[in-house]
Amino acid sequence: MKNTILYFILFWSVHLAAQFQSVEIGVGGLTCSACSRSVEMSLRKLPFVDSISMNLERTNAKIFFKKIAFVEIEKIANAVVNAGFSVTYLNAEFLFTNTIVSNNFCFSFENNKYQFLLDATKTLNGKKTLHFIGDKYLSKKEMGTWKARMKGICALSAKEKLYYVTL
Amino acid sequence: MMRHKILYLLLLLEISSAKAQELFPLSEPASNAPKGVVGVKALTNSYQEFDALRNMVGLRLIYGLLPRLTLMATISASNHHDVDLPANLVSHTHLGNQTIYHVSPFQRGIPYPYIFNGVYLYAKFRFMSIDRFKSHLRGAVYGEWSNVNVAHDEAEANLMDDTKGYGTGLILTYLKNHFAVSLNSGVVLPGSYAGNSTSYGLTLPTTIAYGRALNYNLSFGYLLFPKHYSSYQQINVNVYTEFVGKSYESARVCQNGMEIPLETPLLKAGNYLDVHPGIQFIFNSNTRVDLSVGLPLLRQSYTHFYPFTYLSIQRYLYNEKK
Repeated sequence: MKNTILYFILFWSVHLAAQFQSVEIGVGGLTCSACSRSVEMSLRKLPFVDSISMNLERTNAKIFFKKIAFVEIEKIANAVVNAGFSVTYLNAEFLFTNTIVSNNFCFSFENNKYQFLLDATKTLNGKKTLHFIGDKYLSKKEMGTWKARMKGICALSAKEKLYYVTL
Repeated sequence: MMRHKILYLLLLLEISSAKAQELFPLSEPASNAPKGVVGVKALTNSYQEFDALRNMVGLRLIYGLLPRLTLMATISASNHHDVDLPANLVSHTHLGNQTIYHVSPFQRGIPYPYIFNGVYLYAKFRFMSIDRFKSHLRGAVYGEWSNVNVAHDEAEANLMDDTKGYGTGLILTYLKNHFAVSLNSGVVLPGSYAGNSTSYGLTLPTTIAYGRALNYNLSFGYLLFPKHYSSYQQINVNVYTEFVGKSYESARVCQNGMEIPLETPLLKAGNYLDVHPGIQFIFNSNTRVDLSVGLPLLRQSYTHFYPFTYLSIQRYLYNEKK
């Protein structure tokens, strides 16, 4: 019984009524403005993207979203790969309201599940940056330390995707 | 000759201090076209062959089928060759009662009409990408095919504008900041041309089977401007030095079913290394204009004279409706 309660506390997904504010994505291997433009054009095809600010000096892109649109993080990473480059990091700004999160905490948002990988429990309030973890969002070198911690715990429905995030 | 040596030395010095880009005028880098994007390229090369200005024009469509797979189709026309093989390609001498046939040197610099060469297809698959901050190392394999069937009268095979056949090879491209270097090497397995040559008033069926070839190109690039990027509207100026080398086997000439011994270097095995310094302007981070000039470095190609100039303009057709 005690275990069941603990399970619910830890793994029951919380539905957050919030919005992705923006995403910053690092683009690996980018060195020319024509290549940067390819990445931008690939990102612009996504229906939920409102505007993009590419920074070729820092080789990253800041992506802003349309207000009434479901943001699909995986498609952002795919767009960079489709342009011929790789993702070195993907950080999303997300608005929280007094949400207590701990390791393997799951929350549901826009038909997807997000599972936290954390070392300590934290209370999140206001705009916070979520670092996405996964082969599509980090270089192989960076992924090395995370792989073992990515144990899908959140219960998923057929159409849901699971994303791993950390702070 | 001394002037050439100084020019080459300057080119080598340029390379040693270079920093550059990988959008080489002549060689394909290991990187791909963006997925789902169509590119268009118009290209031309020319050289003066005595009194005749030889020219090739081509139109290329580029398509990124997958993030790692790029397809290209090129059609071309040129005035490199006559509509059939040269007259008196095969001549003979008499030794007592014996008639000895041979392929003699034939006249160069004759004006020819423009003819449609055919279609050249190229596919490139990127199998390796090691991407870092402002650098990457990429590897790709390519395959090429051509149905070009013109009266090419040299042993050296060029799939896009001279000979039909197949080819395959490997590309390795390293890019760091604004410096790029790329190795592009492969084999060409050409077909043969079956036509006619007139000898002493007789029109005889003549076939030239071209030699297999090995390509080895080493390309360097350097970004001259801008030093720092601030907008897509900045005109990018890149300079390139490409070393284009090739070894090829001897051709085989058969006339009237008989193989004819060769007495001209044009149809014999050979190898050479050219250097092609080039400059590139990129407008609005998309429209690319390439210009390069080829000069002989070690021996020379018999398929073109020098200087060999190349000009192209390329643009990706992005859907910018948003």
